[in-house]
Formats: sequence, C-alpha cells, structure tokens
Amino acid sequence: MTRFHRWLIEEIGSWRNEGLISPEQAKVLTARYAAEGPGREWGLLVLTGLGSVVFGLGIILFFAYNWEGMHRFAKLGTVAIGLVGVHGLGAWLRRQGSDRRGLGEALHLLGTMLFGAGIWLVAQIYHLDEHYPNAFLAWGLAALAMAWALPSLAHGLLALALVFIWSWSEVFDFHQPNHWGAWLVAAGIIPLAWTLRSRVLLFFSLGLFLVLYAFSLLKVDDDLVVTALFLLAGGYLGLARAVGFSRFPDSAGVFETVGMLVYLVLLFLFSFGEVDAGLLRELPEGALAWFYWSIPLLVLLGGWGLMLLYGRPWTQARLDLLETALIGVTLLLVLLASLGASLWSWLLFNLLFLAHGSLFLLQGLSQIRWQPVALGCLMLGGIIFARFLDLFDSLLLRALVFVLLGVGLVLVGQLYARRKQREVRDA
Amino acid sequence: MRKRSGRFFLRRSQLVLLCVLAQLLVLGAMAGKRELIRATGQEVYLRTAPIDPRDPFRGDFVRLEYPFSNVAPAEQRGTLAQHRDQKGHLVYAVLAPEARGLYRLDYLTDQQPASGVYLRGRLGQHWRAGQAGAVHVRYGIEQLFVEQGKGLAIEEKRGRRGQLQVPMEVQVALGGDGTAVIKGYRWSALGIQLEVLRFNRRGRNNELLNPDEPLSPRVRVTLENVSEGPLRVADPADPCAFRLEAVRWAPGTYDPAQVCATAQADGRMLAAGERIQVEIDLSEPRWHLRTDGRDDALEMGALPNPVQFRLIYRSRFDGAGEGQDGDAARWEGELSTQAFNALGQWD
Repeated sequence: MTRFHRWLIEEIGSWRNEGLISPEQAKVLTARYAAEGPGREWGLLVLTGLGSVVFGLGIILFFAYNWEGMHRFAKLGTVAIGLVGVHGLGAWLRRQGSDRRGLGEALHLLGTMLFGAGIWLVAQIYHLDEHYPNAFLAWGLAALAMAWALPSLAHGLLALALVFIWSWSEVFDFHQPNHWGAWLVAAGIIPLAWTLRSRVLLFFSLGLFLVLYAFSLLKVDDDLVVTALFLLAGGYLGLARAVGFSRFPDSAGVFETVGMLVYLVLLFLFSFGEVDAGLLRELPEGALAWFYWSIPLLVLLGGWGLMLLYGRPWTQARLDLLETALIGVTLLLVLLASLGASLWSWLLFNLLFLAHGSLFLLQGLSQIRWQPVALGCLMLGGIIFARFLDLFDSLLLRALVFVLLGVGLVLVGQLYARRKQREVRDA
Repeated sequence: MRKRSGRFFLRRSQLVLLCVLAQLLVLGAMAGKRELIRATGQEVYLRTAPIDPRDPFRGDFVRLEYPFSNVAPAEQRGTLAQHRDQKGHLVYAVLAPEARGLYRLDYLTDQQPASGVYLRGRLGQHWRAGQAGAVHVRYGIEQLFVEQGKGLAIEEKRGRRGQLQVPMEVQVALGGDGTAVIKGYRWSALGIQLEVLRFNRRGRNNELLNPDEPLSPRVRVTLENVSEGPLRVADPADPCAFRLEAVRWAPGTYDPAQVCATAQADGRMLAAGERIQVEIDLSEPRWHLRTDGRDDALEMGALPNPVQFRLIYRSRFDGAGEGQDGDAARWEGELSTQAFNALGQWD
C-alpha cells in the first residue's frame, strides 16, 4: 500500500467520524482502496534481502578460503543441496500465506546468491581462467529469471546490480563494447518494474539504462554520447506526462525525476561558454552509430507522441503547460543543433536554464511545495555562481549580483512561508 | 500480482521450479564438462615460464604463464598471421613430448588438428605481443587456486628475481577439443639461478661508460638439485649445455653463430641439495649471433637495441630411457633463466 492509500484510508475514517459519509459508504470506500493488498513491507524486504545477500557473500568467502580438507565433490554437493534446500524452503513459505511471503522471497534470494557462489566455486575448483564478466552475466540472468517467475523486487534489484557489474567489467576492464547491457535492462528489467508497479526498481533501471547506453556509445562513437543522453532524458520527460493516465500512474514521478535530473545537468553544461556546438553537432558515421543515435530519437518522439495522445498537455495548469513547452523548445533546439543548424548560443541556454529555475520557483510557490522552490533556488544560485567569472569582471557588479541573489532568496523564503501559513489557516 | 485462481499459482511455482532447475543445470554443466575431461582426458605436464616479478600474487591464487603463452612468428602456422590482431581468435597449440611426461610447444595454428596432443586457446592482448608479429595466447590454465596461506610457500619455492627459481610443472587433463583442466602440479627437480656479474654501463645518451670493457655481460648460472634424491644431469660446464635465445617478442631473428651437439654421454651427478655454478662470458665468439640482414655475427652487447635474451640449459643424453643408473634419476629437459639484456636489466 502506498503512502497515498494509507492517507486515504485514514481520511475515510475522518470523513465517517465527521458525518460527511455514512458508515456503509466508508466501508465500501475502504474495501475498494485497501484491496490493493498489504503492499510491500519495505523493512522486511530491505533487512531480509540484505541479510540474504550478506549471507550469500559469506558462503562465497567460505569457499574462497579453498579449504583443501574438503573434497571438491563435497563442496559442489554442499552448494547444490543448499541451493535446492533454500529455494524449496522459500517456495514452501510463500505458500503458507501473505505474512510468510517476505521471508520466502528472502530465502529465494539466498538461493540465487548460492547460485552465484556456485559459479565462483566451480571456477575455483577447476582453476578456470575464463572471461570473468560472463559469470556476472549468468548470475544476473538467473536473478532476472527468478524476478519474473516469483515475481520478486529483490531479485530485480539484484539483477540490476549484476548487469551493471557485467557491463562495467566488459567496457572498462576488457575495453570491449557491450551492446547488450542496456537492452537487457530495457527489455527485461524496466518491464518487470512496470509489472511490479515498483517505483524503486523503475528509478534504478531507468537510470541504469542511461548509464549503460552511454557505456555502449562510448565504444561506438563517444561524440554522440551527450546528444543521445539529452534526447533520452527528453523522452523520459515526455513519458512522464503520458504515463499519468496509464495503469501505473505513480511512475510519472520516476520518469520526471530521472529525466529532469539528466536534462538539467546537461542544460547547465551547455550554459558554459567553453562548451560549444561541437559537443552536439556530430552526425553519426557508420550503421552502428546511426542505430545508436536513432534509438534516443525514437524514444523522444515516442514519449512526446504518447504525451500528446494521452497526456493532453493543453489541459494542464498554466505553469505546467509552460514547463512542458519550455522543455519542448529546448529539445527542439538541441535536436536541430545536432543536425547541424547554427542555433547554438550559450546565452540562449543560460536563459533557458534561468527560465526553468524561475518556473520551478513559481510552481513551488503556487502549489506550496518546498521541493520545486528549493530546486529553483538552487538552480538560480548555481547559474549565478557559474557565471561569476564569465560575466562579471567588476567586483562591484559581482557584489551587486550577490546582494540581489541573497535578497531574492530571502524574499522567496518569506513568500513561501506566508503562503504556507495562509493554506493552514484556510484549511 | 493478483492470484486469479489456484491454477494460476501452480503455474507460477512451476516457473520457479524451472528457474531453480536451470540454476542447477548451469552449475552442473560447468562442473560436469571439466569433470569429464579430468576423468577421461589425456594427462600432460606443462612447465611454467620463469616468474615475472611484475605479476602480483594475490594470496589465494597463483598466476601462471607458460613458454608458449607468447608465440613467435616462426612457430605460427595456418592463417594465424592474418588474425594476429584479432583478440579472442581461436587457436591451437600443438604439443610435442619431452621427457618425464612434459610437453612443449611444437607450433601454433588456428586450424584444429585432426590428431595429436593440442591445447585450445584464444589470442589475447599483451604489451609484449604484437612486437615483431608475436602473439599472446590464453589457454584458460593461467591461474591456480590454492588454500589461503599456502600461496606464500609456493611463491617462495618459485623464487624471485635474482634468486633460485624452480619451475612449477602443471598437471593438465586435455579434452578432445583441446580444453585444458588443471588437475595438480609438481615441482621441477632442478632449479636455476642467474646472476649478472659484469655488464657495460651506459650513460644518459646510451654511450659506453667503459669503452675498454667487453660489450656483453658476464653471468653466473647456478643449477641446484631441489629434489630429495640424486640426479644425473648434463654437465653445465660443457659449453653446449647452454644456448642463448632471444625472447619470443624480440624484433628480428637471432640465430647462434656456432651450433653444437647437445647430447652428452655421461653428464654428472648432483646429490640432493647440491649446486653447480658456471660462469659464462657472453662476449666470447661462442655466444655471437647472426641477425637479419647481416653476414657477420655480433655479440649481444653490440646489437643496436637492447634485446632481451634467456640462457636455456638443456640436459640430453645419448641413448634412451630414464633411470639407467639404478637409483640415480637422469634428468632430461630444459630450464630457462630469467630474461636479461646487455645493459644488465632483468625481466
């Protein structure tokens, strides 16, 4: 059950007590929203999951000691029996009822950790000197299969971590391009997060997809990395405005967070005078580079297409519509610049960054939410500090800007506090 | 996920069962393949290459390298030359037998042999390979896991730079496709040590600081019987017991100007723990080398670039068979010193 559901159930109780609704109506409403189930017990998941992972690592270390007194068949047998036993116990516990499901899932996680231990054990027993990233890939695929079969959030997170380690090893230890890591996340883990309605898994998998995509592109054509990341972030922002009407409306915040994070960081980067159009104005060379360049474009077009179709931005509040329009304009500029149009202007990107910061401020003040207010202040402060050396030679001018910024921040704080008090008073 | 019916739940548990079985299957396949090779594969012994002190010993496993880990162009066959830069290209090291179950490299090819004893490997990248067409190969037997704490003893016995080095001889089972599985190891009965007694120092601009001194080093080679019984070995005092050989990644070819017969009739006895030492002056004509494009032979110190060489001790006897001396074992085979160059620099 999400926090929203819990709040709603509590509110229904308040409404019934105040006579706003009848007890029968309260019962129907409670049954409707409590039917989402007991929800995810994060405490149990984190602690038992962590315990399983640590226990499994302990098993790996135990075998790493390579005790010569234990015959190799005994070692292999121990792992096999342990694996079957732990998975079996986990499956039995999951059938005992909802209060045992968490423990059952933790035992399955332990079983998958034993599988990983088994891979390293076999490598140790037979002195294998194979390509070690393959072990992380096999382990990750096993975790992913269990994540879908159970289904299991913990296994999904484990799979994500293992795929990351596999990709990192291939790219940075062996200097090999890894074309499959990002697609494994896109095709295997993001759909799992959607199916499980897990914001946590969705957050990490959306982020990891961007990271692994960048890894792949580094080995194909590193000049395209910035453009690709910008377009992908833009696609996420479009999807954020579309998925609010899907079966997983809570995912909108995740798409927005990941997309906005990357979008703002890159926009900030573009505001520097040292960064020029060369960062973007690079067309791909070769079929593989074109493929890697076109996927972010498709994500962007798909995300914004879905947004127009389902998000209906014209029905949004004025500030939200303004934000959407601003993002759209920025993306268009970046896209055209990457295709060779002479639209680059670091001043323009500074203005766009300032506009975003101001919009966040206004949104936060209007909706009385401290997060956009804080982000807006951070952005405005950040751009001013960044331009400290670029724009102002005169110490007097710098002093004036800092004074204005300080006064501005204080005023914003005061305004926010006053509006918050008014809201509480009116409620 | 909602449970729609008991039947639905049964299908999910079948999925879980399949995943668990798949995990077992993967482990079983990994172990089973190697276990089959251990049980049915041909057993050979492979001598490891002299220790490269730059390889870190990680405390629970030992890095192994073999003389055929780097292969010179002269030992390459098939279409290998066209794929030298292709990391991961499949290759086969065809082996020829020596004494005491040991095998050495005959040649390297990328065509799977129809018969014979061979190791399967893949071309790798190594900072030394690539020079002069040499290739670096990994056979999957480059590490040996040992119990924590035992590694130090192995490292001590293998020896360090400038010390007595005793080669490890790895026992390997070979599958039908050339896959190798390490089964165990033993130690060579003979250890070898190289000391550089004299070399001509160079200045910052590579100028000779002692122009009157010989260009090439004078070295001392020590052989020690590290086994528990006596050994009969080729007499190292016989100049034909040693040959000077360039390392596999050295650019160009370096053939000895003088070739001599290497088999001896009697050799000499070494008691357990006994050492023999010989001093070799590499400036003598016996050690001069013929290089590409030159009619005359040069000493190693006169070569335009400081090429690395090894001294190879070879113990060979006339006649066949071991143990002809009753309880004294005849030691036949080769031992290499560490690589060194005319500037007195060690590998």
